[in-house]
Order: sequence, then C-alpha cells, then structure tokens
Amino acid sequence: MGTCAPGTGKRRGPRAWPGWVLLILLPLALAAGCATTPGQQAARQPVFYPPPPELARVQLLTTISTSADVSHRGWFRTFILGPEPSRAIVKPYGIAFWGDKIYICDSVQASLVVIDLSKKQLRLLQPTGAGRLVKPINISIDRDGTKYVTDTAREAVVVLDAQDRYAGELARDAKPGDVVLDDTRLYVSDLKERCVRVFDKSSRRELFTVPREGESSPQARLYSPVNLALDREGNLFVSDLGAFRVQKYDREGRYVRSFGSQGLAPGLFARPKGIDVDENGLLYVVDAATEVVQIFDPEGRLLLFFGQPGGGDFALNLPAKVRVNRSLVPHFRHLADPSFELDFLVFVSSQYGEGKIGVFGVGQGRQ
Amino acid sequence: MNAVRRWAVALAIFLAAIGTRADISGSKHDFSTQTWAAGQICIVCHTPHNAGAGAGPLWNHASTATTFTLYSSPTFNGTIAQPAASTKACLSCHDGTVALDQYGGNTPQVPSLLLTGPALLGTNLSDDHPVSFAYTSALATTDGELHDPATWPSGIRTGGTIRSDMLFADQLECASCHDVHNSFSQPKLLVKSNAASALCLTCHAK
Repeated sequence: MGTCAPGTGKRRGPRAWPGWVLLILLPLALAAGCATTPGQQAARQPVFYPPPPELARVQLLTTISTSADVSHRGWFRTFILGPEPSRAIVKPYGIAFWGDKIYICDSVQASLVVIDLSKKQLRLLQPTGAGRLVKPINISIDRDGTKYVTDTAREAVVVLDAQDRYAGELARDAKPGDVVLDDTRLYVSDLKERCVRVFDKSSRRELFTVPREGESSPQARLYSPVNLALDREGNLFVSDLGAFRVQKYDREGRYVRSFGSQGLAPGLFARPKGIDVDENGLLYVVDAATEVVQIFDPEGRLLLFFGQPGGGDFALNLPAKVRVNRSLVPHFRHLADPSFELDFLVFVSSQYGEGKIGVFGVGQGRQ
Repeated sequence: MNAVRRWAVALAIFLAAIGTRADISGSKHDFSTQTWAAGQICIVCHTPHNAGAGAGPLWNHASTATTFTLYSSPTFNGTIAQPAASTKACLSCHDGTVALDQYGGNTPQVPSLLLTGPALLGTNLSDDHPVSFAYTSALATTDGELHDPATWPSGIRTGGTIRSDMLFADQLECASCHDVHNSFSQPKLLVKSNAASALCLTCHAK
C-alpha cells in the first residue's frame, strides 16, 4: 500500500491491488486452512488393530487432550476476541454421553470436562456450593439428562439435573467407585464395603446389595469393585481390580459366573479397570497395567485385544475407563480410513500421557 | 531369676521383637487381612515362577503364552506428565479410588508448590506431590529452597545422601518417600518418620 500524506486523502506510491479484491480473497485464503476436526490425527499412517496384514477390526481414530483438539478459533474471531483460552483434560476417569456432548470426570481439576461436539467447545463444569465435586471418578447420565457422579473424597454420589444444577446426594458414606443405571434402578459400587448397592431410581431407596446376603460361594465375593456395566437383559458386570476378574450377576443380584485371573497374558488381568458392554453383549475391559482393551464374549472367552501401551499419540497411558458409543459416530466418521468400515466407537480415558481420551472405531477393514 | 521372672522377660523380649519387626504384614499393603482369595500378601504384585518382565522384580504372573509389552520405557521429556515405571506401578492402583486420594484432607489443593523451580515443573496442576522429575543439584540451586541431593544427608541410612537413598537415577518417584514393603514400619509406608515434618524437610530447605 502506498503512503498517504496527511490531509491529502490521495494515495501515492506504487499502485496496490484494488481494495475490494483483497477484502474478498484474503479471508478466503486464511479460512481455507482452518478445518475443524475433533481431536488430533493420531499419526499419518492409520493405526489398526490387529495390525496389518490381519483384517482390521479396530482403528485408533484420534485422541483428545485439550480444547485445541476440539475447537479452532478462526483468524477473524481470534483477531476480534483474542486467542482462545486453552483448557486441558488433566486426569480423566469416567466418561458419559448425552446428546452431542461427552462428559468426562477429571479428578485433579475436580470438575466435569464437557466436550460439545456440535458447538466444538471444551469447557469445565465445576458446580459450586453444595454440589461441589471434590474427587469425581465416574459418571452416568440418564435419558432425561440427570447426571450421577461418584466422588470418592466426598464419599457420595452427587446428582446433577439436566441443567447441571445440584440435585442431591446418594449413597452417602459409601466410597463409590462407579454408578450405572437402567430404567428403574441405580447400581453403585461401594469400595469400602466391597459390594454393589442397588437403589430404586425414583425413590432412591436401597433395594439390596450384591453379592446377596446368604451368598456363600467365594467366587461370588467382591474385593475392589471399581467399575460396573449393565447389559440389555439387566445383568450386572463388575470389574474387580482386587480379584483380577470380571463378575457377572443377574438382575436380582444372584451370582452367575466370573472369568479371568491374575496375569499378563491375553485373557488375564493385571489391573482391570473400566468395563462396558456393547449391544451384541460383548464385554470390553481395559487394563491399566498392560494398557490394552480386551474384548470378551458373554461367556468370558477372549476375542480380541487392542490398544498400545505407553501413551503418547497412541493413547492408553494408565487407562481407566472404556465406553462404547454409537450416537457420536457422525462426528468421527471422517477420521476412519477409507479402507475401514466404521460401525461404532469406543472411548478410553488415560490418566497420564498425551492422549487423554482415545477414540477408537470398531468395525471391519474392507477386503 | 526365678522361673516366673525368666518367662516374663522372655515374653517381653518376644513381644518387643514382634512389635518392632519391620515388614509388610499389618501395613496398608497387607492385603491378607482383607481376605484376598488366597489369604496371601505378595501375590498381588509378585510371583516366584513364570513372572513377566515388568515394573518390578518377579512381577505378577505370566503364563507361557505370549505376553503384552508391559510399560514400554518411559520417554521422560522433562515434564511430570509421564510417570516412570516404578511410579506407574503405584499409580496403577492409586488412581483416585484407593487410599492415596485422601492424603491432604478432602480438598484437592492446587499446592502452594514449595518447589518454585523453572519450567521443569510446568503448569501441571496436581493435588499430589510431583513425581517423575529429575531432582538434581542444578534444580536445587535454581530453586534456592531445596537441599543439594548429592550432599545433604537423607537421615534414612547412615552416611546416605538424598540422591543415594531416595532418588532413582536422579528421579523423584513415589518410592522416594514411600516404601512399598513398609521396611521402615512408618505410618503411611513412609521411609522415615514425618514427625515435625522431618521427611518434608529432608529435601525442602525451609
């Protein structure tokens, strides 16, 4: 641009581009580089499990650790509003979904990290006053948006309503590891009393504990019931960290079976943590010591394991929770490799390392 | 001495011996009192046969089938985000659901970081003492309120310095302050008594 002598109103010096051309071209050129993808691309090469030349069943789609992985403030908004404040996930454990949002319990930041995939935002939800979270570990969200958050330092399950307002407490004086729910019931695992407490959801009255009184079999016993999962029939699966096994109880709390034992080999557990059930009844168990997710059939036979130990871009550094999800597939579909047919997603939270939330896609490689 | 007094003395010695025996029985890591399946203590972490390579000697139990790679070597990159192998072994259980989360009261405190060193500690929020970082003489000099680990006595073993008794290749880990086997018979499995904050003051020059 030429210089303007004050007061003349006329441009001198070499002739520049007409102003209107720049006004149109410049923002377009800048906006072209601003594609917003949730998470970072894990690597240039797609990461498949089992690794090639086997038929791919799982692909690591991306990892999410900070707000930069979820949102990207364009040039213009940055110019007007300033750089986007960066928020990070520090030490995640529980994961739950509601609508287009992912809720993650962050035990160090004592808050819920809320990732809104449609608004492309990552923010922290820190209830104040009576609803203050001290050490949130796990979360489950009901269909109406009521959130149940287990807090091991507060020693209660904190209930938040759909508008994230405090709505009471549950299971006080228990040390709640996990909470899961179905249409009529709440299941809360108690690490102090080594049992699972079953409540009626509407009245919040305690119905019974698992294992049931009178259950004498040592196999039915719980040691450290850290995580829970429910299948479609209402069977309860408990990931028992201290006994190195997964327990199955029916809807009335009667012991059905257990599988797994201590060890490092496939099919065994060293530090079993998160557990989830997909719609086919397959069990996903993540192990914090071996840093993989194992997939079992309903009888406890190992089908597959995936995940890579060590963290970094490949997630799984002291993993804690595993959650299966189908509703958020549209937000991640573009990350699936063209050779991989994506069916549903598996989210894994890692407590350390760089890839705090690993998003895996389960499906099948195309032949 | 008559027979009764002899028995009394023997009994007193016997009881004293039991009381001061330094070991994992009766400590928080004694899982046998919590009725594990086998009533054992050691099996939670160790096994004499068919062990896999891992975070500790004779770690867990491996069958003859293929094993997973356990804890690929930590890529220490100067931040505390990557716990090292021994700290990782502790953190695999102490993840917020077991005991250690109660330390320091019920409020997670962004700690008044006594170590005000340079970017070495980064902006990592934590409600636990930082681990898996290099505690060197250089850090002590930069910070100004830390004892030199190469020369300051640890107070744990005679003639031992902080570096020889508490650090692992100059790294501060969980095991710097806690002994997993409770060899020193201190509450909270510490390596020395923290009466009058003696353990804190071993490193922090306050």
